[in-house]
Amino acid sequence: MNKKLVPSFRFQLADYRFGILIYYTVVLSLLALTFFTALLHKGVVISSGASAASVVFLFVCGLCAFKENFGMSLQNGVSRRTMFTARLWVTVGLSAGMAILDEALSRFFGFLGEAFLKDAAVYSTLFDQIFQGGWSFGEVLLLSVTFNFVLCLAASAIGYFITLMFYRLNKLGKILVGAGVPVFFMVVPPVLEVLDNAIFGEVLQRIARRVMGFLLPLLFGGVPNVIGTCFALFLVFSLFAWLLLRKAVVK
Amino acid sequence: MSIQIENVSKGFGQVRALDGVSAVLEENKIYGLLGRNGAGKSTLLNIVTNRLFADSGQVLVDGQRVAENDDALSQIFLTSEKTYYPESMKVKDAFRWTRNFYPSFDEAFALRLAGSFQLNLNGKIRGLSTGYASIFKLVTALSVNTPYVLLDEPVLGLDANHRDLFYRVLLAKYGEKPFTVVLSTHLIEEVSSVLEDVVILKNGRVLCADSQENLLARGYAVSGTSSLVDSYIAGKEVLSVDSLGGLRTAYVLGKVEPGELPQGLELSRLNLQKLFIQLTNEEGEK
Repeated sequence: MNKKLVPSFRFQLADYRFGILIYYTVVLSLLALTFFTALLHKGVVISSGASAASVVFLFVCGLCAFKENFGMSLQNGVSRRTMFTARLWVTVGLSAGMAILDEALSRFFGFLGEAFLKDAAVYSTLFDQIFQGGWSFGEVLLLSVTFNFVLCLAASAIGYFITLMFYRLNKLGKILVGAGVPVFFMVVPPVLEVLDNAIFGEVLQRIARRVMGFLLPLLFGGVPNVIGTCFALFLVFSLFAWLLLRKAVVK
Repeated sequence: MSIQIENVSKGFGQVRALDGVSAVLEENKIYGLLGRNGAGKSTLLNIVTNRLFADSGQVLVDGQRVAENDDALSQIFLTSEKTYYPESMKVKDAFRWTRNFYPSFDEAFALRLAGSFQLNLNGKIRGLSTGYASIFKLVTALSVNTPYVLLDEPVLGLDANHRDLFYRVLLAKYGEKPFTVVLSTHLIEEVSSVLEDVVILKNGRVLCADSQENLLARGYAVSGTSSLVDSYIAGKEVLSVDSLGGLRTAYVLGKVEPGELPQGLELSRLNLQKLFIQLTNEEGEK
């Protein structure tokens, strides 16, 4: 096995150590706070934040994961390929670990809520909120963890891709992408709608509805579809990230 | 066993930083990589260590292509002007991580050496002054025990005492177990006493690559009274002349013939810095 892979994996994983510690301290504190608030005031508390927050957390971690690791890797004789392979393993390991931990936390507080508070506190996972089906408890656990896992994978890969893209872009490119993309989404759709109404007789909107009507159920129509979509996003953004990384150089 | 640089070229936009550079850095030698600002020294070292990609040509380490090759990269350690360790990392943690990446890293030696330089092990890298950042990188490089250690501006910001300590430790370490060292620096006079071979870059090309002894044999220095020196150097290719009161030292290219030197003149070795300046001066500077 490549002798730089394990050190690179350990280094990149260690980079998350303090962030994760702080993150779970906050999550646990909030869950405990909601529990004791419900216990003391008998009010209804609904908490489904842990798994959704983890997705955001990993996205942000992905955004912060490149520059220092890249410098450290090149300083210590690690090739880009090895660094990226280690990065993939870190992403998979963290996503799996956090998906399992989030599920365990939600179920644990859900159990506490049911045992002590009856309906005063409801701790559900993101999966519980989105999907309702006639699954057994074991099936729900498995699907929920898998769902969280692929969401985390996709979020982390997208964050990593964005930071790599900004690393590779020159100053003009950064301005164009940083300002251009939000402006594009804010300006182009309303303009198109106006043009469509005024000139094209709503043809564009009918096409858009038809495309969405086909795509949305295909991509998000059920648990397997969502899991497949998120996993595909992870693969696609990881591939883009690799294409950017393979020719990245020190600055 | 060597680092072979084969016809390497690299451009940055309109600037041609390296233009067909070829050189061999043999094992267990101390090299000086010399060149004026912008000559391409750092670019070359960055290509040798896979931090930059060459537009053409290749670099081989012990026969293996270095580009994206972990085995070849494990044989080399480069310290640059810029510090690539995370800024929030403590010095002692940086040593620990370097040992993870380079199992040959001698952590005990690094800790001892850091003590000799009064480097604060608990200090964060971002808090190190320019001099101490250089010391941190030097300590790491001298402890890593790879066959090839490349030092780009190694004594940047170091005071005279620390520079002296560095040269002494480098020579002691080299004497104990020889390895290849490449010193890229502008302090030519200071490093000349430790260099065996010299590679001089000029405008992205190798101007000369030879042993220091051969290079310095290209000329000589004569000292004596102004009138004697002036009459002796008339018609000769003179690199430069230093004057102090009524005494002069002239640096001359060429060989001195036996019996040619007049009474009252003293002959000595050419100075590497004088030779370097002469070789790398542009037209308008001569």
